[in-house]
Amino acid sequence: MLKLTLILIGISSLLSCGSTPDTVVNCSVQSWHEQGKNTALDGKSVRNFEHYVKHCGERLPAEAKAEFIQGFSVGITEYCTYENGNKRGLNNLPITNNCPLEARANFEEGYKNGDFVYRDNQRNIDRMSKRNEQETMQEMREKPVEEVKQ
Amino acid sequence: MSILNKTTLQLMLFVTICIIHYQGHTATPMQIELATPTFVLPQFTGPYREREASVAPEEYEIAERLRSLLENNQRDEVLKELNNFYDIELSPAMLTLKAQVYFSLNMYDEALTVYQAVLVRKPELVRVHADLGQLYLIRQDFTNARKHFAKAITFGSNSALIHGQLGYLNLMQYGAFSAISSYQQAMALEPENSQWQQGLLAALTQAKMYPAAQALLEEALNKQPSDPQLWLNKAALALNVSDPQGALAALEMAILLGEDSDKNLKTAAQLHLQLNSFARALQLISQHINRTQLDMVLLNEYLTWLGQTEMWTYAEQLLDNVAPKLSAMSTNDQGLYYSHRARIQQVLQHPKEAEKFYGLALDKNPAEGETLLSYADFSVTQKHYVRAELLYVRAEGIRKTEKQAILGRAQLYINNKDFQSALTQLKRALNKFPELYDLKDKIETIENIVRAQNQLSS
Repeated sequence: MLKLTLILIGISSLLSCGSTPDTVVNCSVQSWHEQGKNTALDGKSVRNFEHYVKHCGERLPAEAKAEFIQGFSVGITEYCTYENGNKRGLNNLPITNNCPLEARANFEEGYKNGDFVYRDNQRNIDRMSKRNEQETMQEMREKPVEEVKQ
Repeated sequence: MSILNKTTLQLMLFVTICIIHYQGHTATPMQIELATPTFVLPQFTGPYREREASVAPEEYEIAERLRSLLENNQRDEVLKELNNFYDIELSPAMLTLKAQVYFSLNMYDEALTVYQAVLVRKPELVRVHADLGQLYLIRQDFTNARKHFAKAITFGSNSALIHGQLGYLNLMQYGAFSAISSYQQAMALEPENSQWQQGLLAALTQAKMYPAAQALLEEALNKQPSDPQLWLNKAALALNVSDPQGALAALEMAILLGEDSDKNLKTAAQLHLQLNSFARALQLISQHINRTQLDMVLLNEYLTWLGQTEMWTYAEQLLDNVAPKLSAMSTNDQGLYYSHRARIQQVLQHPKEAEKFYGLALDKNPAEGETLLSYADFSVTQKHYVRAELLYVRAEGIRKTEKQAILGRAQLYINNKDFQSALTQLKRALNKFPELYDLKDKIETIENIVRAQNQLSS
């Protein structure tokens, strides 16, 4: 029963992912400019604004869109740097396609290098764990002989 | 699409002439009216070219679709497609295309906003600076237009149009020297373009670089000897270097080739008068006067010139030519016509005729101050003092001639040794027109005379 409940919760949260932003939609945003900027700095798409349109309807102030986009434009320039791309790569996160074309090159370069380092680390870890495994096996193979000797 | 924005720049070249009064009228400076260096055809300059910025890989598909829409002139559809995206999602190239479509649809405010958004992201996009320059030019914001053309050139544009436009705006805003180099660049790129040639010529002339302007003009005239505008330029240059004969020859050539602007016909006539070719002057004047509805200001001007050169017979002949138009004139203008006739008769020593015409002039326009004054002065010469006094009194009632009339009457009294009346008039004049402070000495002198007369009589 517990298993079934957990599966249902899992399915419903997966379904809701496509229709709502990652955060709860707040229609009484203090500064739409800040909201746009933060959306960009979180590496999210400008289309996140659509959620506000959908959920807030007429409660959305007239100037919200322009201010959000303005803030987003500022934020996305800050976000699309080599460092942020690198961070995403290092953390094995998927590359986002939100950077404007002119700011994309640095971000992608950072991501590529971060991803390389991540994969290299992974390979090292794999190699090390394989070696550990082999050593353990070796130890296990040698151990019964000693025990027999005892 | 063709948006024609004719911006006018008048190049007038003045020569100094003496301002000589002819019975109250003033001559105007000699001018040649040149065609303006207009050349700017601001317009949507075609679709975006890839060499300036590239579209994003994910936009290739939509770019192809938009290309075919543009080829079919479906610009509204293009806008609809592009508006499905947030501007920040579009590459600067696609965003530029959006601005250009707005521009081509004459949606200037929208185009401006989008162009500016592109420049925030790509401040050195030559094409956007060039387009923005055009857009500002259309909106007659010449300062911003100049700024963006300059930037387009700074960032690498080598288009003759941009150089030429920068030259034009520099000429308007910063004077000739700042325009010369841009025009030269434009001409270097498009040597056959008459707009650049005209602009460079205007700039060189304004900068007083006459030999260079002359050389350019000679070259142009060799190529296009039947272009009246070039001959006008030559005339203007000749006037600048005080060569009235050269100016007249060039001006006559322009007239022969069809030039017929009022100013240039007037200048030609004036030059003929100056150079004593009176017959041709009169021919031009008559031709000009007969061409349109009679313009009394113009007639006055011509009569003034003829008066200055003492060509009274020609002046009379001119008035004879005009006579058939008399009935179509307003009563006031008829008054002025007769007044001119009277003055000419007066100068020609035909007092009876003069008197007749003065009478006619005042019948038509009894409140014409200048005529009243002239008639009064004439009456003094004819010793008709009572009539002269009456005429001065009438002229005193007209603001424009009040001062002269008071002084004229004072002079009349002095001539007739009526010093008491003269004194009253002079004091009146000083009281009403304090700027006549040098009258004080005269008043003092006349007061002494009156005092002496009183002493003698007592």
